[in-house]
Amino acid sequence: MPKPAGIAKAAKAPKLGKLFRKPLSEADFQRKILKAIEQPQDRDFLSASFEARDGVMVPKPGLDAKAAARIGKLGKTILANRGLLKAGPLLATTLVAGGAVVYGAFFLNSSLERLIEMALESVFEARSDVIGLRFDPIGMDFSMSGLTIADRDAPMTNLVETGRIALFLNPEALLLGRVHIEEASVAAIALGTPRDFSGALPDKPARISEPEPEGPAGPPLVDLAAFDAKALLRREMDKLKSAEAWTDAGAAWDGAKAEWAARAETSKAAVARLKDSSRAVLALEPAKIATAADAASAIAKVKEAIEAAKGASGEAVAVAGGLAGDVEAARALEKAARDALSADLAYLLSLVDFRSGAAAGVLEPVLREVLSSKAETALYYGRRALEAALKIRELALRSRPENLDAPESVAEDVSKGRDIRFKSDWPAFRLDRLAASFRAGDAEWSAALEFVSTDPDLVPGATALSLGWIRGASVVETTAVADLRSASPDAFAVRFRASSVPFKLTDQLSVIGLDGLAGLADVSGSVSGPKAGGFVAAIGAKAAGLRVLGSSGTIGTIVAGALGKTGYLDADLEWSSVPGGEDSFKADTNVDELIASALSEMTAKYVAKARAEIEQAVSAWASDSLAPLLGSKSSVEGLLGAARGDEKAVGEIKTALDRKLADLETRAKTLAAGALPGLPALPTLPSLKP
Amino acid sequence: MFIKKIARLIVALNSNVSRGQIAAGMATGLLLALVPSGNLLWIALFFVSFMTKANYGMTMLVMGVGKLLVPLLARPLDALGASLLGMPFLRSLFERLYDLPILPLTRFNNTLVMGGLALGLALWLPLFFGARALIHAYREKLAPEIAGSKLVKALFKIPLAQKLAGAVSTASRLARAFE
Repeated sequence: MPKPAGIAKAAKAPKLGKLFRKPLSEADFQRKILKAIEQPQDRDFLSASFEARDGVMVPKPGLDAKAAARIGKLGKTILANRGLLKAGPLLATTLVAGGAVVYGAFFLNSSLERLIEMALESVFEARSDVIGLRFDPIGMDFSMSGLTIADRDAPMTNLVETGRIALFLNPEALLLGRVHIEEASVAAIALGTPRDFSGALPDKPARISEPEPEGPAGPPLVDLAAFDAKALLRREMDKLKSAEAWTDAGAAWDGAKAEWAARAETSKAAVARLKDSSRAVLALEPAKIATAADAASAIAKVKEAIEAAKGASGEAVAVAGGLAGDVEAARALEKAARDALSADLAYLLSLVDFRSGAAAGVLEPVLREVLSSKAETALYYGRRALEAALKIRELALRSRPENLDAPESVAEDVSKGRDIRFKSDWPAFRLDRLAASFRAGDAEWSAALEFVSTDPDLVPGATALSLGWIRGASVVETTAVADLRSASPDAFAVRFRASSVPFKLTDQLSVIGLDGLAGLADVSGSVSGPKAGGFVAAIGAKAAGLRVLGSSGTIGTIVAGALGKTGYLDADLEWSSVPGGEDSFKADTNVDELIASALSEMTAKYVAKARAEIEQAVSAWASDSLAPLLGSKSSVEGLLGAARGDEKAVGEIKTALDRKLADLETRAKTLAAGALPGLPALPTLPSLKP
Repeated sequence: MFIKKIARLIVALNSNVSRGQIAAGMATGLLLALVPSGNLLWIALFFVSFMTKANYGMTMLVMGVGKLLVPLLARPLDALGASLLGMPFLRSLFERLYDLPILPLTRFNNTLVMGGLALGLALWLPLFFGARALIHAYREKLAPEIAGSKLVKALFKIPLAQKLAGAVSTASRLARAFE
């Protein structure tokens, strides 16, 4: 039988949500429901909506739909507050991961490009551009169409510009956050290419390089056929030491004269006065004195004369001693001046002796200039590479945990923190091998770079660069090793060999009268440098197939002929540079021998005459210009003689006065004993010796 | 936008959202603010917080405000990180971690990351319990008094307060809809 509709509606309990489907005990209701409700009014509402019946909490009868809905919502809130994890965000995580993949596909390459550019810019301090970077994270293949790094010190020029670069990365290292390039290849490399726009970075100004100190210029060769000794003397005057040494000696004599002349005159006058005043006293005869009073008076006069003699004697001794010291110093300077004159004469004579090294002296600056200009680019790039490598190493060392407290490790800008490099088998960056082989113009180039790392101690070898260049019969091979490992004292070592390389010297040989010289050179050598800086280079060179491109002057013509006959030039060079010190450059060549033999006929004819002319010119210079500088010498020596005479005279007067005083005292005692017979003898008067 | 964030926060404080979740959101937000972003550690922390029931709105709000203020703490955080990374007895641990896959990508070896992580973790529990207690006190005592005060009633007549109240009401409706 169907129930009445009104009864059915009233009997149906409102739905309260799944939390309240199962009846809860009073304790569970308190713990699981009421405690999970945070708002007091909601807690009160729930308490009022349920009642305990048979040990369980059930909804009170008569709850309306609104109350039931509120209870249902509170139930959902209680469920939401339970537990720690949400399931929904998994979907969001999936979406984010998908987003990352999309980012990688569309933006990873450009981000990596910028990252690499920033890293290069921090090392080379100039704008760097990576072109067309492609990274395949699955195959670990990495390539770029090109790379340019501007030159900080010449912003409109590229330090290096490359063609396509391909890299193969070690995936294990990438998981560790390190970059390990196992192999890399570069299609082409060009150095010093021009740029369309400046590569300077705003906060990295170009470094002003210190001008290279000019080496001492060698002596010019003397053309004996047109020899003029006086002209040679005038030309070489700046290099001669005599003039200065003689001036010093003359100044010493003049100084002595100025200091002592007046004083010596005063002393002389004092001695003369003493002679006059002491004459009467010395004339006294003790035997003729008859009374004790006369004796006492005579003794007083003698004592007065002795006091005057003491004053004159002190001044005479001081003048004679001071003059003697100054004369000794002036004589030493004069001797040095005469030695300088002898040395200058020897130097001037050496200019007409081609076996004395004069030709080598001429050639040394020439060779040095040639080497400097040829090695300039290589040295520049070498220095920049070494600078970059040392900077990377320094940064790596500074970020070791043991160096954290060092003041230089605390960066001014801490907004990005400092990355601390712990001891690890994996350096932050490591390149095992980069190889390039390409053709530029009519030359074949090959290059290989090995073991570049932020931590050189973690790679199996020193950083090494091998370069090869072949054009026709000409071959150049270079191996440069930069050993930055802690145990190695040397920073770099370079070995090179070039064979049949054409050369052409023009302006540099004008000093020996040659307009130019061309030929083929075989050069080999090594350059090495310690970590402290500087370098030592040893170079052996042989030039053959020599062609003189014009000559002028007597020597130039003769040397050109000799070179044509000999056909080769040998040179062994040693060049060392010490930081803060002077460079040392030594050249051992066959040029001296070559020029000397070429000039042998001329030497026989002209050298003896040239030597005699030089000696005569120097002698005339010494007597006319140098000797007058010692004008005060004779008067100072005269003063010294007079002072010594005065010193002697005053000494003699003093001795005579002492003797006279003693005689007078004896006479006085005798007179006193005669005047008072029976009295004991008078005590002896104290001696008045000075 | 900012008003909506504040509105959500007010809704959360005045609803039945667990005070533990709000406090956890606050502590996690501070941790995410202190650790520099852009490394695997921050990403991991973010996802972990995202998957927990820590109040997301509170996390975002505290992190947003914290990120603005943390640069002022860069120097002490750097010093703290440097001292931790330089501790001799932790050196071997760090060296081991440094050579494990993935872990270096967290940049734990960065002084700011380590300093921020250390400070954030050290403050997490005190901040969690402190915030939890404060929210409890607010809900039990302060909120009813504020709601009934004449000042608040007068305040609600100001347009900005009305706007805020509207935002709270909207957020509250949305929150209920999600509940």
